[in-house]
Amino acid sequence: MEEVERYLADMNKALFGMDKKTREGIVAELRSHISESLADGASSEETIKNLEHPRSLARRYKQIYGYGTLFNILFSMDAIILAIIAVPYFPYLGYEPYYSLLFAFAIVSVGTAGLFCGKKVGLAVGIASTTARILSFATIYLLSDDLFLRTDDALAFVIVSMIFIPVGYGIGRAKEKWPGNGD
Amino acid sequence: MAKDKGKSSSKGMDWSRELKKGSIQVCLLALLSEGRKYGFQIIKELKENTSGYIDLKEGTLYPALHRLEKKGLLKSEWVTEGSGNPRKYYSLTARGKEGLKEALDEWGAMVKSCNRLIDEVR
Repeated sequence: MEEVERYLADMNKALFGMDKKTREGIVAELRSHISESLADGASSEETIKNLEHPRSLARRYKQIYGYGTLFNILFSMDAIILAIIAVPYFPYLGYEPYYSLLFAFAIVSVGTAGLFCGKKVGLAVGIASTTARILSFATIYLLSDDLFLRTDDALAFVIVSMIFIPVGYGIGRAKEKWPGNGD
Repeated sequence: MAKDKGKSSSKGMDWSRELKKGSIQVCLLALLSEGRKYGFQIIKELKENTSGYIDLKEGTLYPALHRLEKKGLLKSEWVTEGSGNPRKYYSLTARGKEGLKEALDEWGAMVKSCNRLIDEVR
């Protein structure tokens, strides 16, 4: 039946980003349900009408399962890359204030990872970004001949770098607790 | 969940829906304590066993089952009987059975204390 296949294809599309096996299982279960309904005597229009719109149904599943590993990695990558670049004296950056802007973007990226992928991924991305930023600057400092850093400046740098952690975790957790995101 | 909202709503509060929201997980666990069942079967039996009061929509049922499975209260398996339609059966895990018992105890306590309050008000 055309509408059935179209519905299932739409469902598959709406679940995009989810772990492949989980997604296939969900679609297979809906297919099984539709077959039962048709065997029970309902028409395909009725059956599909009783099923929710693919987009809103997919959203419920996503709330339960989150995104798959690949997607989580993609969301995290840009945050970590920005964290690496957004340090003072990063080569090829030229004009200094840019690093502050990139730092802001890095914070937003970590927040986005937490928002879309949940608090666990947000925390992981936060820790990874903090570590990446500290290592990035440590590398630049060690390789440079003429950079001098006082201890309290270094400490301040480390503390500021840690902002990624509460941002990633906090936004992920806030989104989960937001009314309507039921669990 | 119910297809007609008219009966118990007033000024935008659909009480039937509100009350059902909290009890659906317990009902699913209770139904599955009878043995393993698949989605379509669950919808039918819920409707029959509650004289049509719980007319669960598919968009509510399947995510609810998945959520319970993810929490470890249910487990699932695909079963194909002969050349029939493959079906995903759900059943209670040991944790699910414990959870059902705890939920029913809680249910009883809640109903008892609420009835006490309600009787005073009525």
